[in-house]
Amino acid sequence: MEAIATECLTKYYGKILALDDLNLKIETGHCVGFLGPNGAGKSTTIKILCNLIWPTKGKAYINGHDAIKESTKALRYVGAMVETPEFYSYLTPNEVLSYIGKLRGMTTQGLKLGIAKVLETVKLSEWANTKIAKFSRGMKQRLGIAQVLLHDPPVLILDEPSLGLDPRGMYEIREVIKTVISEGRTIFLASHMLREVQEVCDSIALVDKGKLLVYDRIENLEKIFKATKIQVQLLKPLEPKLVARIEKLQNVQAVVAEAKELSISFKGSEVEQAQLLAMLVRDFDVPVVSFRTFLEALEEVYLQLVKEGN
Amino acid sequence: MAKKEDGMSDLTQIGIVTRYELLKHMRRRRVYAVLVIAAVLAFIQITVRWALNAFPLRATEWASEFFGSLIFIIIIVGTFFAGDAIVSEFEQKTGYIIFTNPVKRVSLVAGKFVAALVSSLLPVVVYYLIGTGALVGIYGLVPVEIAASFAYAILYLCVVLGFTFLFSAILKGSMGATLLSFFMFLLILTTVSSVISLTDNEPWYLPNFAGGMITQVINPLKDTVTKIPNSSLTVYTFYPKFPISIIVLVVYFVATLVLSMWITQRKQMA
Repeated sequence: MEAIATECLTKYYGKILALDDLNLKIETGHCVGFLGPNGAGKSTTIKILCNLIWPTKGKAYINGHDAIKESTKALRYVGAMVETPEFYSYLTPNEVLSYIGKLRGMTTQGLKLGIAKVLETVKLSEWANTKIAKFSRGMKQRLGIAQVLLHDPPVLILDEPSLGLDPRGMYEIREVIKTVISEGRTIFLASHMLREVQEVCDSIALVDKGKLLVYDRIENLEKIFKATKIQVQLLKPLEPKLVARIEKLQNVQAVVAEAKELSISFKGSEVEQAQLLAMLVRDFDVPVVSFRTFLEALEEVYLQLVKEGN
Repeated sequence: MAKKEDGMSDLTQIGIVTRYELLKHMRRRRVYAVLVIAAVLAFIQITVRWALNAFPLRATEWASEFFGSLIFIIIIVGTFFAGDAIVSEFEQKTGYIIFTNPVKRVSLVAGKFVAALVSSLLPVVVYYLIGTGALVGIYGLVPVEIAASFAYAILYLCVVLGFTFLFSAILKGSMGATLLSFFMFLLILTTVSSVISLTDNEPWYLPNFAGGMITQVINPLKDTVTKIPNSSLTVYTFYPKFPISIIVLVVYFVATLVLSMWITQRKQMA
């Protein structure tokens, strides 16, 4: 059974088409990154799934329950964080989590343990009894994650979970998401942060102008679009002439040299990558310290697809 | 109330919402502010009369005058506690947290209404307690009609809250909802009912007119027609009647609350 499914989901805001016949099926236990530029329809989809807005046409399901007609049943399986969460400023994290937990039917004992656990997870334990009015955006974001995890939902819907967090916070949230994935839960993650998506998700759904452009596993997309970036660390900077020669090599699309680092846009198989490395060392005498696929390969896929979509 | 599969009833959820909404009112200190306002107003009324040594002969006459000011207090507290009840979830985006839980929005509105009613009722109760205390002190008795007046006060408070909840569901800002409700009861409805009365028509169907039963039940007055000497002008004065006033108040209360629930249920959080 699909954890999340949409069928011909369409949404108009007045005359503006925000979502155009979106068909998406997310199998249980998968982590799907939901990517797209601003106004692509990501938040609209998430808001429909979370019973915040209603589609003009089409259906949305969570664990087989109609997210619109049976919203209370559907939402029972969901932990959701939509946009930057705002909490009741007069409450403390302990109180706000108690409120949400009680509404979800959690027992007093379950709540006590659950709140302590999730606050520990998001590193907010020492702020448990401080009024949220005093919280920074990043702290509210952490609390948002805590309320998502509180009732151990099988489906997590996250809209930009790392927004407003410092690098350490982003790392910690990614680790939390990875733990959740390892527990076999389903995650639908809307994000602008391609690195985050690439690191935690197994598949990507890319939308633009309300249309689903592509939905596939990340490795398949990288194969299809053959978009690889190779990061080469060097012992010393290269001469511009040498950089120009490397740029002319087969399968190399572009080379950016910055101090003791080369960033190579490469279209080719893994075997061809190995040949490139051998060539750099053997034929060009390049002092290579390390050679690895650059994490932003996904960016190429994203840019290609969004450009093509336009 | 429907029992959910996981054993949690809508009524339980309403109770939870009520508890946390009450906590909101307490933390914002609005409750204390209105309690002080109610107490100060009551003591001013008593001390002015006492200083002038001008208490009416009959207890019901003074009680009617004293509890007449309660209408003003009800409007203040009603709009104070209900103005942001619904709209704030959209305005301050807290709805992104609360609406994504398996709770019917109708239950949320119901819980918020109960909390607003309880919070608003506190100053009303204080005012009645001071009033009855004064009646005992001055006249040595408490007319039984005070109990009926209190019941009407609760009903009128429900109507004020109902309208304010309705505006809170319709409008996009808390301030707008609060002010609209406040001025509607204090100014607009009062003016409309006066104009209607001048045309020799009883505005029995207006909520503020029906709310006049709070004092009418203590010291019943009859409709009057006064001809202004040396003028063609005639002034008609109408007073609310039993039981139509109760029906009017109940209808307004139920209609506005149900409508506010219906609108909230359909309001999108884009």
